[in-house]
Amino acid sequence: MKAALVLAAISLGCGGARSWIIAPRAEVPISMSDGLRAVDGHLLVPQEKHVVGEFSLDYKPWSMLFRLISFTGDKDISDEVNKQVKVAGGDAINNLQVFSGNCTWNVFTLVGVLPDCANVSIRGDIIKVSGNGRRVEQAQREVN
Amino acid sequence: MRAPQIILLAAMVSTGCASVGINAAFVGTPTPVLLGPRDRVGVAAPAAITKLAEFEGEAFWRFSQGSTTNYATGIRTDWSRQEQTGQYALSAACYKATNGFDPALDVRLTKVKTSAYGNLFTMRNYVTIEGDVVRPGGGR
Repeated sequence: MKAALVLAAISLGCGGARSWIIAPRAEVPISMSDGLRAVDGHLLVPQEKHVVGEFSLDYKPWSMLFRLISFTGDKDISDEVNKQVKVAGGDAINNLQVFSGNCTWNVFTLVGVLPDCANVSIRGDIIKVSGNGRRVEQAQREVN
Repeated sequence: MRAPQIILLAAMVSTGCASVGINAAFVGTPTPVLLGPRDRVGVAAPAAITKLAEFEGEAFWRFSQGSTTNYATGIRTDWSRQEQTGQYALSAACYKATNGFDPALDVRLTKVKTSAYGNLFTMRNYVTIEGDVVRPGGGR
């Protein structure tokens, strides 16, 4: 009987964690898509973008009390973006992807009251822009 | 090893890997979907923009399981259900919000929220994305 009650209590609550990804101090453009603009505002074509590295960041957000209290809160990735792009010699981040996954601990946190975690992975292509971001067609026209 | 130490170790291990989850990506989307203040490569000052609409998108993975018993027959049936958004879900939302990937428009993100939770019977993962559809001054 007691076991059933405990099981019922656990099943009622959900443990977990949430976070908000921000980059207010990023010194390069970060795009979650394939689209980026050059200095003059035109969309860069694939020939102008060269992947020179991979942006990679993993972290574990923590929350408690049914995720109402978030210990992680805003996850500022600005410093990591600036650092990794600089090391790779890139100009921007393209195709940023965000993975959100469970912790095994989610199952054991007592009715969501205890601190609980999640797994977040962020990946993206660090790209270098060639030709100062000019259109390839325009450059070809100039050559001809 | 004493019981408290074993429990502590088990708790530490359990915060580790779990392969289930959802990957949020704008696959095949030509429209810039920007996080952060920089909107053009090599330019520090952001271009003037005109906000046209709001953008919302969500990627999720959900799993639940349980069992039902028919008391008349005594037959117990275990069930499980898994559902998730497709890899093009966010791209489709962007396509709709930008009038078919209008090359003159950008999406400026205001919220990228990750959420993962679960218990013995269910696991849920969400990446919620919100932003504005804008027309940048330098766009063509």
